[in-house]
Amino acid sequence: MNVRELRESCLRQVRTTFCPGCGYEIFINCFLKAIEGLGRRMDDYCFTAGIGCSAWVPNNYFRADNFHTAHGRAVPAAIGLKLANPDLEVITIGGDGDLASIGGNHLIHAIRKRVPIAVFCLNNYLYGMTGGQAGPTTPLSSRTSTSLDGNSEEPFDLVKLVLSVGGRYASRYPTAYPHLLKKGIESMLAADGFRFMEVVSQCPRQYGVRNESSAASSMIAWQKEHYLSKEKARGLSSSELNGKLVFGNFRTAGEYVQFLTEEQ
Amino acid sequence: MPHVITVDHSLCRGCNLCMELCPKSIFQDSADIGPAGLKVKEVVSPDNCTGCGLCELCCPGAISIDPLPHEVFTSICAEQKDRLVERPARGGWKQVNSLLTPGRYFMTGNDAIVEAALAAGCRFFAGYPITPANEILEEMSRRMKGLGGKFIQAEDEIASVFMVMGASWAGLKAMTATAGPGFALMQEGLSLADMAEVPCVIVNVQRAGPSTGQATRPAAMDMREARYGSHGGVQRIVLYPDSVQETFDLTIESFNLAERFRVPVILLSDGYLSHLSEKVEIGERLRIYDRVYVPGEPAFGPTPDSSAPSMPRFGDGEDLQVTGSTHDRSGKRSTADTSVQENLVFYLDRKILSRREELLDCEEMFLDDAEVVVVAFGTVGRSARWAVKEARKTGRAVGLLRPRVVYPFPSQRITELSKSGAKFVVPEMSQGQMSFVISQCITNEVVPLPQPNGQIIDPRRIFRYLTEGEW
Amino acid sequence: MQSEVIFSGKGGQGLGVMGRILALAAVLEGKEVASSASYGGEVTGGLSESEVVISDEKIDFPAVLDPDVLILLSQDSYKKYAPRVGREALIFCDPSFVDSRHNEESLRVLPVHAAEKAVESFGRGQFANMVMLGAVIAATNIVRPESIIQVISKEFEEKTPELNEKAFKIGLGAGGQASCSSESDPADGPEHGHHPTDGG
Repeated sequence: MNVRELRESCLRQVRTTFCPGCGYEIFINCFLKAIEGLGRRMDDYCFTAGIGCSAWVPNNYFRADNFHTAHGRAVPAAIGLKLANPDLEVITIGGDGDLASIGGNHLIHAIRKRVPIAVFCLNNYLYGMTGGQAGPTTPLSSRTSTSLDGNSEEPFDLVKLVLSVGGRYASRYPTAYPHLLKKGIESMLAADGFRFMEVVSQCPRQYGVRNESSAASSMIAWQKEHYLSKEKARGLSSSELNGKLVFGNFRTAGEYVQFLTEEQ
Repeated sequence: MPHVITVDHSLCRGCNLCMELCPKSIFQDSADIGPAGLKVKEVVSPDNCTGCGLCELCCPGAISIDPLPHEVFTSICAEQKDRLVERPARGGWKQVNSLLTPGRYFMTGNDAIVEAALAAGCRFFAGYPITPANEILEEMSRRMKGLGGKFIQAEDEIASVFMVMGASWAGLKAMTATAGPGFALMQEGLSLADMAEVPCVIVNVQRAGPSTGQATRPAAMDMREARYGSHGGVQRIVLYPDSVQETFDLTIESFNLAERFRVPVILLSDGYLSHLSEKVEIGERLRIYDRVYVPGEPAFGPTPDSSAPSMPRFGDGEDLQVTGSTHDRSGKRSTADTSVQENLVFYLDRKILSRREELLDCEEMFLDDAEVVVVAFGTVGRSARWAVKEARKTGRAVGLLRPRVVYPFPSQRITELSKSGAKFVVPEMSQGQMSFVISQCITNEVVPLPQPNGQIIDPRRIFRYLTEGEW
Repeated sequence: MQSEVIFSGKGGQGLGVMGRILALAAVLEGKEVASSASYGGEVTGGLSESEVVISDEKIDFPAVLDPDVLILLSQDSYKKYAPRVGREALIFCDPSFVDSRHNEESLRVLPVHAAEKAVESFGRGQFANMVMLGAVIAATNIVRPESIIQVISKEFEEKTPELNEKAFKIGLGAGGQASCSSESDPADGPEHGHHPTDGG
């Protein structure tokens, strides 16, 4: 099936309410393609979500059982579902503020508890739904509605965070590479244990406009310029890696750390 | 083989991503302005298309490459719908054997909660250590496994209550237990349990606050928080026993009510009752209610008669939408509709209030001719009963009213009792929380007898008040 | 008929166990029982108390109001309770831990050298609580000794029931003597306060 057909058969409605150019559409499409690629169906999975644009992905649109919880609480709800019925394949879809700020404690403890759920963090660098406030992943110096002079707080590197507390499956894919993102989702859904993926996603409406790239296309171009797959990054010197962000699937902190330069 | 590629202008948002990502530059702006106010795209050189699919992957459903023949697509969709296999309805009242050998036991209040919860069918417990509820957590960790249930120690009380709700939607009877500070953290989750109609039982073993207060000492200082603590403030069912036997009985009742009404039920205890050991008689059979599921029925209210709706579990194939947002009967979010919101809130209240007669459960003693009605809740009932009996021996016309179901508040019963002109006296292990609630129902004199000192009330103190008017 | 018993001392002296054994024995005899324990800040060393109310009728108020029997195993406990009771109450104390000599006129105090006897018989202070309980039962008859022995064998099923029973019987024997004796000299006894005297 093509994406349009997958959307017709797997979503509650083809038309979403996301802003023009939103990266979450790319995630939705890649997710649908991934489950098709695995020979699975949407309702083989069940979903939990917190609050924010990310939560609308499963709750408003995915045609499957889903639990739209409170802000930050998607992970504990997923743990409850999974423990209570281990046959359920439980997926959490949250945002960066959702999973890494208000729900940050739940995230790191879920890793420690090794509950076999898949957690997707749709990272748009800020709180999109509430008007574009700075969040735990907002890059330094970025302008948001609460950091008009530039963000002065260090952002979390979510892959590093997950691996450093003992995560054994942490991946990152930018929406600029949909085919790789789709493959990444496929591998993640096929794997066992606690799995985490940071989906780096453009938010032209809230982030782009404040940071000199109100067009989704230029944000995608920026991603392509700055994100390197780990295959391409392997063997590059520290100076060549400077200013670049590496994506792919990482199993250990050691594997990931080699791609970090001193500033990171 | 050339590719067939189209752009549905009604879905194109004009975001330009297809133009950015297409390696063959087959898209361009059309003259039309789309629903998002931006120029919609059109295909200019379809022959160059390699079918790589980048454009459709970044598109909100407008682009379609090589669509399947209509019949093929329709049959795939039909196949997917076959998922809804025949499922029998389930739930309702049933009789089960007691888990413990019937007979007489000597146990603490906290142990009684564990035994009764397991007997009632609770098979999921999530909790976080807090005094004086720790023994419930510890005992559950020992007992769940053997019964095929699940135990998890959460990272905090917020996680506990959300894990409980997750488990409840997976089909298990689930509970958590905490004390004041943890109960405050759970209020966020409890509000979701109200809104999404998630059956669960929350035990609050009250201790002297505010804040950390006296962690090991008993109090009844969360009496109003149990009812009014959550945002939204809809009706709650709250129970408070006064003995270990009643703790056992009301724990079972809590599960039955949670399942019948599809609400979070709050079972109150306190730092004294939780560690008090008394006899518990355990019978052979128990009457247990399981949530009702009728396949295909809407999973949420408002139901026509304000009874609890059918509750599927995750995995039943109902494509459940469970949300804390305002929703229609199918669970679909409907946050802009004022009438959906209003009807939902009134329904959540009515679900409990329309059955308040049935929920009325009070111990009454010497009330027929009582000029003074002592109203006591939970453990204070023990002090009050002693004092009222002693005062009767001295010829005082005093009686006792002890609501086991604290909320919905038995305001009608209190109003009836007020008609005699009786004075109401309310001893409390707090600064006086329920006396205020009582005074809201009636115009009679309501005298608070507050004792927020972290001790159970010496019954002689109440007796002295009843006979000499001193507190 | 209602008996109200208080066990008070330091954490680690096995007060909770004494209370529980007594309560279970009363339950075994078909009596109404309420028992509660309270602890100070620490599990070991702080003030630790256990209360047992035993009655032939349903118990309205489950905590002790007018104690009939007090087992006081620390000076702090003695200081707390001695001024509150009169000669109608019976106080058991272990002279190793409590100096009760100043109040003999106004109180009925029965010194029981439980810790000493435990050390004599078992080489350590452990089981002193069962010795004390034996003395209490011998002097008061709150429950029958056989009931206590039956409870001990069940409660300590996996933890030396025979030694606990032996300690209880030593106490039973000493109980009669204790009730006639009024001497007590804390200087004689070693300071056992920090030894674990948990009954098992």
